Amino acid sequence: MLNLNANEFTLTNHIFQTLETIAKSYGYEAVFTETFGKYNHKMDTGAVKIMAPSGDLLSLKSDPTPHATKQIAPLCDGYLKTYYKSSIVTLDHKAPIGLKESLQGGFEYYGNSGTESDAEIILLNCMVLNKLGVQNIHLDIGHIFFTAELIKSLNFSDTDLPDIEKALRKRSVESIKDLSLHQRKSLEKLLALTGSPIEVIKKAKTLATTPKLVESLDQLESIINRIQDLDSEQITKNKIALDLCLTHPKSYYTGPLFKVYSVDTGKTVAQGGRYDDLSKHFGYEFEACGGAIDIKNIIEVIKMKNTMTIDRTNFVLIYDEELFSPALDFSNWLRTKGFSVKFNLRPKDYSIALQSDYFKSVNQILDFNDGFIKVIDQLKNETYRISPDALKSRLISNPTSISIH
Amino acid sequence: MITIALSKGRVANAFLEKLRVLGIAIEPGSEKSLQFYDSSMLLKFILVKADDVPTYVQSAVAELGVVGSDVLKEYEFDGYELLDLKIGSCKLCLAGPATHAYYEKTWVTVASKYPKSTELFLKNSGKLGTVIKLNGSVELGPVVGISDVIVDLVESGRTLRDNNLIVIEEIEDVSTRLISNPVAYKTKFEAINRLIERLKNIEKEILNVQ
Repeated sequence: MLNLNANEFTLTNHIFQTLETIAKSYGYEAVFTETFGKYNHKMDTGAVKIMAPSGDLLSLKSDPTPHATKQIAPLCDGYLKTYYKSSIVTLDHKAPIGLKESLQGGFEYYGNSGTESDAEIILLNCMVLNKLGVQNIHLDIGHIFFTAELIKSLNFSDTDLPDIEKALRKRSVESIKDLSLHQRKSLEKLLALTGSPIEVIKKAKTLATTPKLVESLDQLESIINRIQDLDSEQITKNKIALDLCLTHPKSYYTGPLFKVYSVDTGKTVAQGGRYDDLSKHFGYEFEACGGAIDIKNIIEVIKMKNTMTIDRTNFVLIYDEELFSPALDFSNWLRTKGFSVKFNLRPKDYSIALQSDYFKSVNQILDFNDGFIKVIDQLKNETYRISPDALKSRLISNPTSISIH
Repeated sequence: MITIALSKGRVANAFLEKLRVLGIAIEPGSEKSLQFYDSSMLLKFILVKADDVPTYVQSAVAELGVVGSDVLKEYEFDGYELLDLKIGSCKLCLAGPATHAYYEKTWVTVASKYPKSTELFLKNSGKLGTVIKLNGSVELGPVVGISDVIVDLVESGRTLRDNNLIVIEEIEDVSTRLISNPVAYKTKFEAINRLIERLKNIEKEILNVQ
């Protein structure tokens, strides 16, 4: 299950705080997503099922969007903008116990069918990434309705559909080599619908044989224009592409989709789309779109690019029992001056303990002796002896001599 | 520049030969170093173990990779499989001693370099069994008694015959694929597609040269 070390946990909190700050500045309200929900075979693919004492079949939260939608449905009497932070658990045969726990944060925009809501959601996700230093991105926008309708018009049999799905997912023409010439040629055209928005829309319009297909392309054009209008910091400039083979593992998406990749790691860092029919599952009817960032993949980029410094503890102060009182006074004095201090009785295997993360993760080790302190500065890689008073004077006159980070 | 991770050995040599046919000049013998370039410096090649090619591509170190579909399936590669390069075509087969009554057994022990593909095959065949992962000389499995049968790649069938084994069932076709990381494919779409189109039409290019 989820296993974060201290640095990763700090990063996770920082990512959530960044999301929250941006969400609040755009008037989004926090929404709680419940841990269990009534099992729904359409929405809960990949969820862990649990039999409640009542006999009801429940699903453990594997996707916050349906949970958030259910939560706000009775309150949605017009526009409603929410954000969430949540942990999720999904079935994953690659994981050691067959389950994977991960963290997710995202935005949802309810009650608005206009493309400005899709654009806002996409841009908010990109803004969070930008703020976190994930700036080398590639943003793909697609339309699940366009893709699905085009495939439907080619009259595939049900047995062909897994190959079609594989062809789209893997960009693999090999998967469709046994189809009829017409079907294969049409799919090859669909597979080529990726790249510069203007060119892709031009090509796609030659395939759009119904007004609804044309309308979905117009929607995409409008979203891209609106993103550019809203993006005053130009964080998406030259980074947007259309991909009309874009699909999403969740089946409730109905319209425009987006996916943001980190160019540095090649991984997906945010994705989402429009899901106008989801509220119907809960007895309501309102449009919605949303998107979520992928915390794990973002942490990977931050670590790789070293874009965020983790706060380190300034000191660990080691003392022997007979020097407890002066050592305690010294550590308390350090704290009053704003430094962070770990306070520890000398471990039995001191030299071995020094190699542990507990000691290695602090800036300086202060080995408190009678009349002097042995300072091991782990950042500057130097060791020296100094009296407690002299060290105090040094810290008062030049507190930055101790690195804050 | 496009970085291509090549599966060391026969696959890399065959792929580089295809590029030479396309007029992409690679200094002969340069593939002896683990990293080298074509003469125009538009392509960079890195030679890695077959099992590592998907890792290099998935982590965006290399934009493209050249590796067998057997490795991709075992790795559960999540990127794009752009082209069948028709290099090293062979079959993944279930093989065993002619005397082994595979179809009558409900429980079998299978030795293989491909445990995931083997488990999937057993599951789809409705068989129960144990899969033993071996890293090489898989044919020895039934000979020394470590397994009843094996799942391995079969090209000519000579190694099987040498060890008194026969093909019991063909599982799937295997060949070398050109793979890509989705982001790399999108950000270098035109250059990658140009290369793909040339590789697709290589037979025509050979005729033109002749």
